[in-house]
Amino acid sequence: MAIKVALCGNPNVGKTSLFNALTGLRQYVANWAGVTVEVKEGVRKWQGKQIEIVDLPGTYTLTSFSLDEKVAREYLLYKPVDVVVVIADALNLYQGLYLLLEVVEMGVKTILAVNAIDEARKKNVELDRYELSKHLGVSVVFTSAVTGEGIEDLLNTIVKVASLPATQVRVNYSEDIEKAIDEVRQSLSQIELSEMLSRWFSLKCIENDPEIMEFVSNRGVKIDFSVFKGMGEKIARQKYDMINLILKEAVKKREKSLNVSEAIDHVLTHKYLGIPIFLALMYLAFNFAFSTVQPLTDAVEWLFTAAADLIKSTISSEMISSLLADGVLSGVGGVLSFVPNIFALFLILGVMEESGYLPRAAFVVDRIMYSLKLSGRSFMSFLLGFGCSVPAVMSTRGISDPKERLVTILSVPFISCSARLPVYLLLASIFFRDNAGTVVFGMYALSILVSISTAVFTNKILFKGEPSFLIMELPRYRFPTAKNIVLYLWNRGKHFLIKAGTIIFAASVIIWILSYFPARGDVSHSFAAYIGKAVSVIMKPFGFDWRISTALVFGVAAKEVIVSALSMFFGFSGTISFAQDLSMQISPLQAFALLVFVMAYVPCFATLGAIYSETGQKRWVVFTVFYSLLVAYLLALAVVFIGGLVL
Amino acid sequence: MKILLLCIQIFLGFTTALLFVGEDLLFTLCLFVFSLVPVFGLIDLKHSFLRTDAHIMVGGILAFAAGTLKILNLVASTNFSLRVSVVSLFVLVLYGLLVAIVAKRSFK
Repeated sequence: MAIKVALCGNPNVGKTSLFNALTGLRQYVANWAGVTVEVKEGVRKWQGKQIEIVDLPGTYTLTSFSLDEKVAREYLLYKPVDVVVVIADALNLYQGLYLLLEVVEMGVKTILAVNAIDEARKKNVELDRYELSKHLGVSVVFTSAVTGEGIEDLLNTIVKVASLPATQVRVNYSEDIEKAIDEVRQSLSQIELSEMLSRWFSLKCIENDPEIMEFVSNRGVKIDFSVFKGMGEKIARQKYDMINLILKEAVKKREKSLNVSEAIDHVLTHKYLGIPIFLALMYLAFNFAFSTVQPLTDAVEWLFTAAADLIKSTISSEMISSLLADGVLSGVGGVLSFVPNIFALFLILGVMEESGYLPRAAFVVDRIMYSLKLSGRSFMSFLLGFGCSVPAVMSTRGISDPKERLVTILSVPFISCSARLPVYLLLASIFFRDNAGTVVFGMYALSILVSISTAVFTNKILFKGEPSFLIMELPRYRFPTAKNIVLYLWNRGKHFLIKAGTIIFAASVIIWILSYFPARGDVSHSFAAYIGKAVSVIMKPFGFDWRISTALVFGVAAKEVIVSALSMFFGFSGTISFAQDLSMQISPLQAFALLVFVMAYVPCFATLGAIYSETGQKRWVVFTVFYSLLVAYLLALAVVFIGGLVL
Repeated sequence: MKILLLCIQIFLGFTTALLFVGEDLLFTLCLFVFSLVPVFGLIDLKHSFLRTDAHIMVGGILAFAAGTLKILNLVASTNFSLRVSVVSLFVLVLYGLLVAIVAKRSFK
């Protein structure tokens, strides 16, 4: 029979890294809290036993308020496992042991995995495994998910602990709390609970945990919870007192002077320097991704052009050669030629994230975000949005306040995701060749501005809300490992490649069919032209013709499709190149208006789906569609109008 | 000694920033921001030597990173020649790396 194991721990202690090391899977990991927002499962065979391992979202206590923390608690409560492995950071055992005490109080078989033991040794922090085990009453294993140290030991311990009966570890509280526990336990006797679980439920009632209070009340138990006011803090204090005593025995050497992490933080989270440094680093990152990598982009583009020319010269059938060259290669190649830029951007963002800098960015902007009625936690979702809006929307589960969460969900889609990047690069390279990097950086800056404005607007008009405080544990700085960076690059970039081979390929073929028929090559009398001409009426103020309008319509499926469509519609006849045709059709000012429109208009279908699944209400999807269209239209109009006056 | 290190860092940073004004204004702004790090290090001298070392170290790392990215950018754009601004950038990169390594020794 399989052994079911749950991994739980504080955020950013390396749960997912340990999960990957135990199961051999490649789940996405990052050097900041809140990456795991849902339960992940994997299997490992060890000593002839099948071990089913579940990676739970990070949580500090089992009295949880945010959605991801609730997921962890509910899993432990309602889906019993054979063994719970509580993972604690070797350099922050104080916080990790608090969660461990909460878990052992539930009466489940528990193992303490002290992770990042290699980093503790580097910092001359010595931990005594025997002392920890003796005082906590659970098996203790020292691990390092980075070096692989202790993984076999942990697997052996899991098998061993699973075969033994559960040890009953009790935290002894002061007399008044023990008395209160006994009183509540008597009232709970009508609910069928094990001895330890009954004690745990009693403790949560005394702590005034809203969900447990509701659970108890729904089962007809009448308890006057108001008499326990202030006892929750007392329980927490007594647990921390106990932890302090244990650590005094188990931690042999403590750090005294400033370490490198603290020294770097002194500057990077500086009151006056923090934000300018962040902005400067982001500019350098974008400039690297868009200007430095350009020769690689040009090389990929040349390859696709050469392949298209080869097809046209070798295949005699005009229709098939047009489908392959003008349809598939032009559409898919137009998007794939930007792969170097996208991977370069993710490389820099990956280094920033892996080194532990990005959570600091959230920390330094928290003051600004708070004045906009948001917290730095929302900013983390915004940062994720640079990759893809879908995980960014999902990451809002870590925001405890429901109103703030909804505001973030509605604002995040405006952040420029990697799908919009090919459109920016294409237009910037044609119309603003010398300043392409600056224009693209400007689009990203504008997207952040629009997102924040949306947050302010929705918060003020719809909710009149106050933000929650940002409580965030800053991870230690570390050198990014090549393995983690490659994993990061692959996890972020593979979606782009998969999309190119599926959605964009299919869209390219559909667009080619719509552009080729019924006039057999005369694109101005094709089905695509009819669609575009109908839409172009409302695009008249910007001077967008039917070809650009059609591209925008198809772009709702996935933003990269705009590039595929433009690549097919312009220069279709083959007499002039795509870039020449496009630059003859619109001016740089109109191109900028198009960039702004693409930046803001309707999120892709996948993002709309994520918004629906996270809010559970169709009205927010409808709101997003119409609001983003309105914003895009007004912004593009402003560009054309103001630009017309200035130029 | 620390004052001298900081002053050289500030001088090199601002000089290189000014030399790039005509070429790349946004990069100039980046260098300007990074050069403010040692300036604040001078202010921190009266509070703590360790904090000043932190400014030297981080200022050096940032100058090294910015300079390296810019040099890569110049090489990629075939706009690379050993003109005064580029030489100054090279000196800034090397100096940044050197002082960052030296200052790191102050910390565990």
